[in-house]
Amino acid sequence: MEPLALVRDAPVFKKVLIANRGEIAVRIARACRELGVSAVGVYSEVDRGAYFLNYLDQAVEIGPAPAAESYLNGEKIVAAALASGAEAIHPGYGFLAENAEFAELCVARGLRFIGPPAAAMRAMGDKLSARATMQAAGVPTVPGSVAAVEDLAGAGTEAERLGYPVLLKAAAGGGGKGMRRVERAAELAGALRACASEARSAFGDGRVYLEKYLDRPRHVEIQILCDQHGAAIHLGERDCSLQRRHQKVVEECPGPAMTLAQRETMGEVALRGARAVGYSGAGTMEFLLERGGKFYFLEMNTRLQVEHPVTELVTDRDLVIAQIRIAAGEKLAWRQEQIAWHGHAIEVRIYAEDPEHDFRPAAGTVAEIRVPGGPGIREDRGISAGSRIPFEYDPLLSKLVVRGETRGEAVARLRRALAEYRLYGVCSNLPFLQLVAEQPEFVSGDYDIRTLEGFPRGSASTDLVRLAAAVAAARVHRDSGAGRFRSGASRWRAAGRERAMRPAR
Amino acid sequence: MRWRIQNPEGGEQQVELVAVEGNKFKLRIDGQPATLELLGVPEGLCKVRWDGRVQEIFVARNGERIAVSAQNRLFLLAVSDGRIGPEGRSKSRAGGTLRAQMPGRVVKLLCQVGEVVSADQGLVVVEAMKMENELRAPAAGTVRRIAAQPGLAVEAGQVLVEIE
Repeated sequence: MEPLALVRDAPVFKKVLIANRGEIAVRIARACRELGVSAVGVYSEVDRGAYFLNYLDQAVEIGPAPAAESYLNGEKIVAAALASGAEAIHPGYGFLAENAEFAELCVARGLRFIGPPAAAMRAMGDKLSARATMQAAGVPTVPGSVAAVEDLAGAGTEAERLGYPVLLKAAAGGGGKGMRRVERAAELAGALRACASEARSAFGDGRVYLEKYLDRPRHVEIQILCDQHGAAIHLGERDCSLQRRHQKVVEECPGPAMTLAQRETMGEVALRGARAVGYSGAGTMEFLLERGGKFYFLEMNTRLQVEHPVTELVTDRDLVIAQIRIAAGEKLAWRQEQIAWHGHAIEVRIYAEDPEHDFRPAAGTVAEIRVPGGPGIREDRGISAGSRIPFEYDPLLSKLVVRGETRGEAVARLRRALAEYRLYGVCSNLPFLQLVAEQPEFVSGDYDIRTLEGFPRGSASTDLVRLAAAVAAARVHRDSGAGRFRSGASRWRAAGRERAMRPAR
Repeated sequence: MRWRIQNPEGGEQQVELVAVEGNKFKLRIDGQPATLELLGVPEGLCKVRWDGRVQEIFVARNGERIAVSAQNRLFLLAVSDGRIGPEGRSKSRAGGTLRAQMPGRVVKLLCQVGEVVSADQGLVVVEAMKMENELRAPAAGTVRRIAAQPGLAVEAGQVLVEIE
């Protein structure tokens, strides 16, 4: 008789360096600890004392605050790994995660890169070559030009062939950057010039191509895992259609527009695409899904995604542990038929941004934080009370993920969790997320990639504005001596608070 | 006592103190009566009773301003003597000064000293959290002084350009 308990050998590495910060550094450190792997962190000057460092076994300061001099400096990170005796580097997402040269640098210095081979990253990094490779592998792509457009005349011909509106895209772009929608022929010349110059300055590569602009599709992506021995599985989809400025805000699984058959079809196509580039590790194939079920390859993210917890909650599989085991050369522990999906998970991203002022970035210091708990809640957080939120990096503070037996239960849980959440001293998009959770399109699941554009931003209620004014007046009155604090309020404490409330530098 | 409570992001309340009874403040806010009861020391995290409901708020001094944080929103309020009339108000608005709205790093200057600029013209580009933000002239005029150069880290409220 087979024993019921599943026992797996302890792996793999003794020490892993995490080349990232914030919530994802915490997430990776947790996986390391569960594996019995020692986790080494890196941090910039402005991240001294940052929350994520509490989760690491050791940490190395690698340079000044600007990312180019710290988290994006591959040489310094590799040097820190070698000096600390780490055998592998986990890049997280962002920063160096999709940098093929960095992956090669790691290998050249005798370190494992916890991610796909550099060749697979390159094949997927250039959008034009990725489209060609996917087409050859039988993966449907959005109708568009096969090569970069040479000039305005060429672009005009292509746009007429595809039919307006069209999308201009930078061949070297990604993550929604370097894109422009063109409604009619008259706008083409200006848009082409702007797109090419933006692409040159952002990516050092001015090549631009055209795609047909699809009418209100959904963004549905497939999570895959491939080992280095040819095994590959998918873990289903995430619907990430609710985006603002191409930045994802809400993600969920199952996708509201999905069926089991659709999941299987898209999963198989995603694996075909991954095999075509010799992929290994965790990756995500992003698709646009039209009403009626037609779908088109958009791009591949050759790394761990921000929204991976959604998949972890419904499949009960740890993707980060899987990544580390795969990089160590282990065989994939799961066959496709062992993957099952239970319940419904929804993630919202909590950003340091001001919804009342066009979502502008809002660095600062967290004065106090109270996080939700109870059934069905997971939070992957990179901050605590006293955390300074530097302006140098991504504004993602935390990911709140809920799970319920049904979508309805998950939505109710999300609303409950958002109502429990309290973040003091900094601006965040929490009030906006609460509004999103109330919108009929979200509640019904009938949304697409442009739905969020039409959602209300929600300004503070008149009552709240009046309350704030009253509190400020009462505080000034007390400070003026008319009613100095009696109840033993410590001036030390007040001084400490005042320091904590100064804007971050 | 009267105060004028200004939110630099827009909005202003006239607050009049009618009576204080222990921890209870009877106020008129823009003429409308309101009662605020402090259920603790108004420093850091504390509770207040407002409109019959107990609410948790955060309050602290932040330089010249009072920071009030409630229901996941943050207000940085300037409190001044309420007797200053409307003429003082327009002066204090200082329409000719461009300030950083957020902490960030200056990446580009789009104007020069002596240049005549129009209202809403982009003057400085500040990068924060991977986003470039073009800061625009609050008023038309001649650029008097530029207190920024590319690479400079700036704080919210810091003067970048003065226009006359």
